Amino acid sequence: MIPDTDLPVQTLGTDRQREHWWVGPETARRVAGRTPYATDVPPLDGLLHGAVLRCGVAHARVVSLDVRGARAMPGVRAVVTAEDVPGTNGFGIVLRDQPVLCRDRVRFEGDAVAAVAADTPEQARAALAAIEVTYEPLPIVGDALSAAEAWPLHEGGNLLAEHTLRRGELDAALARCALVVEQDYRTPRQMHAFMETEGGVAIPDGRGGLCVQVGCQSGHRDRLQLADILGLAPEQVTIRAVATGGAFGGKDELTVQPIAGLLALRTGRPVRLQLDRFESCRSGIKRHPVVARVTTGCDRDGRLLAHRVDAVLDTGAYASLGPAVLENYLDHATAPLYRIEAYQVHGRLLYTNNGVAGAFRGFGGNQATFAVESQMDALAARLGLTPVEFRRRNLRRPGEPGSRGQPVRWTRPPAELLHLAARSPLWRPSPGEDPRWLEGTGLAMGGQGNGLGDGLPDAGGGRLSLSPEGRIRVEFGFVDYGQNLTELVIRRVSEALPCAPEDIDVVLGRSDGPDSGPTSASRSTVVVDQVLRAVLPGWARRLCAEAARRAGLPPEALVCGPGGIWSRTPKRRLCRYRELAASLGPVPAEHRGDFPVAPGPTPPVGRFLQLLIATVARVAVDRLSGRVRVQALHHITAAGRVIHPPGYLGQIEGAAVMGLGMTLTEDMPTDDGRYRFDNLDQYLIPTLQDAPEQRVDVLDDTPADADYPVRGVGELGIEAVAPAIVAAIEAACGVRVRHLPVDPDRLLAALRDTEHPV
Amino acid sequence: MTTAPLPLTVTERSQMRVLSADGPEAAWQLARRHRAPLVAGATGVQPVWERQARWPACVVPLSADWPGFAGVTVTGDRLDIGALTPLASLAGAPALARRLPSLAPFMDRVASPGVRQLATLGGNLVAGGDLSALALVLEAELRVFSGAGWHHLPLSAWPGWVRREPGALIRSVHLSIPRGCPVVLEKLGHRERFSPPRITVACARLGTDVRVAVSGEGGPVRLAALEARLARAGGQASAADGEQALAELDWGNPGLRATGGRLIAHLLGRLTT
Repeated sequence: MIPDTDLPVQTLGTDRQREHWWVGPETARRVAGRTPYATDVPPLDGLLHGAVLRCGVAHARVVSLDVRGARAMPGVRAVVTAEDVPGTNGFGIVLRDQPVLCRDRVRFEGDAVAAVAADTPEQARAALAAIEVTYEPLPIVGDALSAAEAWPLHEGGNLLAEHTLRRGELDAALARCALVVEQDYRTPRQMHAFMETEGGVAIPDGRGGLCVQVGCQSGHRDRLQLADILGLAPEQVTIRAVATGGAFGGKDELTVQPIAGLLALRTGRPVRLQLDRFESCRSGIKRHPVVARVTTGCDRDGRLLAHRVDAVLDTGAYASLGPAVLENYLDHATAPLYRIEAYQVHGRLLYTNNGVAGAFRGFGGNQATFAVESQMDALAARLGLTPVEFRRRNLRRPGEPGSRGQPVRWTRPPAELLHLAARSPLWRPSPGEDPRWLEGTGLAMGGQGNGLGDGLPDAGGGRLSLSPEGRIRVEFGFVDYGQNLTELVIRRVSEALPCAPEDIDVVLGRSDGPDSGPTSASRSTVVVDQVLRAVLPGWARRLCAEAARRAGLPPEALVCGPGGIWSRTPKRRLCRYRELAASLGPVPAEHRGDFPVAPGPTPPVGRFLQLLIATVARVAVDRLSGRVRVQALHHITAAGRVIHPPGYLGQIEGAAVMGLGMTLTEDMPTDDGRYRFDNLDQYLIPTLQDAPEQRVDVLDDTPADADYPVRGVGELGIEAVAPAIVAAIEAACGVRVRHLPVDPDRLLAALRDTEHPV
Repeated sequence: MTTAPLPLTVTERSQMRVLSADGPEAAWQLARRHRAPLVAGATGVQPVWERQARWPACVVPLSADWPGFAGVTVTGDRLDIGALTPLASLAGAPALARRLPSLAPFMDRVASPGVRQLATLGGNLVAGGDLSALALVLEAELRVFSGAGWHHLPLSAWPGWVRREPGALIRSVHLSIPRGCPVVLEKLGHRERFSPPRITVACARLGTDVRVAVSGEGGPVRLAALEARLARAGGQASAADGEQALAELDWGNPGLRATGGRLIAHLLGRLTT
């Protein structure tokens, strides 16, 4: 317990013995750099190297494309264009509007027009240089705000989606407000900047199909799209989604799979395709930039009455997951933690030539929360209330419906997180001694839901079995891309069965294994828990029954344990798992179920399983330059039981640093539809020196046998970081920043108007 | 017999040839003959070549083994520093730490630890990097070689001189730091570490003279007009004075000039305390 509170809260990592802190061999492998990349394959006979010709122009008609010269180059085994795509020349999780290879028109600089497979990477690149393409420039749609009236990038125009969420009578509620604040907010086009760029190896199976070993987020979904593109039956395509060095949503769409697959089928040989950082920057997916005008009003007592949002999201040249991001943005823009009498939340999703935006940790929610939480602070300040008191008067309580009238399941009341955030030590720091640095503390709150939401098909499963060697084999279709799902599964199985961590083999990401659904939407932990709760007790009983039969003991006298089955008293091992495998076989146990959704409305609205965070930020603002140092972050989280403490801590802290980058340095601006930056020497992510001290508190007393004891926390840590930091900046220097990332020059200019001479 | 000239550039790094020379004179000749760049740590040029996917067909590396090209030597107030001395060695050199205690913490903000192992003092100065402002206020002199032979040259004269003598190389950098001469400097980047400089300011007081120089987005330059004003005003200047000095040189953008003015005033204040 934290002193001076009766709430069930613990600071993660401070009592590792009590938490049964365990770090397994996979962590050690990653830290030592021994986890292989997706394209680190053993020598393969006839391995070819792929390369992609990207157009390099923001918008143009393809007048001519001549690959004859490239085909005649030394070492070149295949050159493919749109004419060579045997199936559907388009991909996209929501709409298949992105060509694998463009035929007559390119819509962003990363569009692919041709690809080469050659004996060496050098030969492949040389062949690209020999391809002759003539483009006729088309008008560039560079501004999402005016894109609806601009040159249409797709049939049907540039307005890809438009939605409005409503509650109550907004105009009437606004008229009754004693106080209304209206502000404009902007958030940046953030890049995922994963350590491992997009890459994979496509290997023909000799029977007309192929296997693709790749860093991705959903082997099963990729298989379906890839089969359509390659003109194959799904059964002819196998995806091995190997552990990869980060994804964060940036590998949710297909990346290298279609072109590598096309080249492999064309040549009948394995093809390796790995994007370098420049190509990854220019062609990869980014976070949606959002421009929003937000109007929020309350009565004299600070009760929220009215809230209006008008937002424009720039999805770039293709849809990708943009429509789903818009939905999640709007959901979060309703200010779901607060009781508001009436709202109208309106968003538009526009095509432009500004790259492609899609899935990114937070998925639109954190962009909305930045604006919503900033509005709470603005109203509090105008009323003369503290940010804590203003929020306290408006927070929803457990049992109340969510902002869209839907049932929601929190694990603790939001007010408890606010209470703990108000008592954070970051409000009482030791005073800084250097008058150059202005220090301040701010807070923000955030909520998130797990799962794909809104009634979308969201099933997932897993499998348990015993290998002939007596290993406990646990299979899921998920991908380990740094969240360390492998060790989470080991921890969960070894505690629940129980057994030793060393008894378990975790197999992830095989499209010919169980389909768990995508590794996204913070859903993996929930699905893993559902599957294991469903299969582990029965599976353990089967093993114990067989051991009991062999030993001539009653089954209830036996339990699973390290290395095999044990008698309860005296405690000793009676047989090994290997012996059981010999007599019972693999003992397969499988479970597949729908992701938990709210009881009631059909189809369900929003997301049922909710989790909460309050982030307190301490910053220092340089009076000389306007630069901001985030000194400390304190997160209070309510996300159910912690299964794997190092994983939980890593997710919250890592996401927070990602949010810090979005707040202070990260943006990928475009000039005439082309990205201004193409490498990490220009696009600046936080380094270790920019990462602040962090504390993660867990507020939870959920019993292990509760209906929904766990949540996925992969996105929670990013939710409230940006508004907490800008609140702290305002506390430090009196300037509120509403355009991210924070521009030090603009902050300094604003500061100059308010300060005394240095 | 004639041979086909080597191509000037190649499209694969692996095709690049490295031409080794026995000494600086031979290196200069090799570079001239093959129209090849001279390289030291090559940390600045490599990302440029990678980005363009074009590499020079040949490069001529300079060698830290050549006499005078690496290391720090102190003779009285005078410091002779080899141009190929890695930045990491500069940060850890005891002789420099005694004379320039502000250098080691400053160096911690220059590049990343890995880059500092390779990047050299000479390369940093040639590129107008983080150390340029410091070298300018210390009135660094260069020992250089070109077709005109060996020369001593003020750092401030280097850009114009190298335009007349393309392919020139720097052997060493010479500074004079009298005991008790305070030097303060600060780098402002976009983030805490491993960031291209927005502005670096260096100030030094030698007797009654106060010197100020900047480097960064507007390039390395000594602020002579501001120094003259400081001489009249007892070494003190306001942020507005610094900002105006930068504006008169059209240095950087207005926002950065405002920051620069404040940094200059701040460092001048530290110089006198």
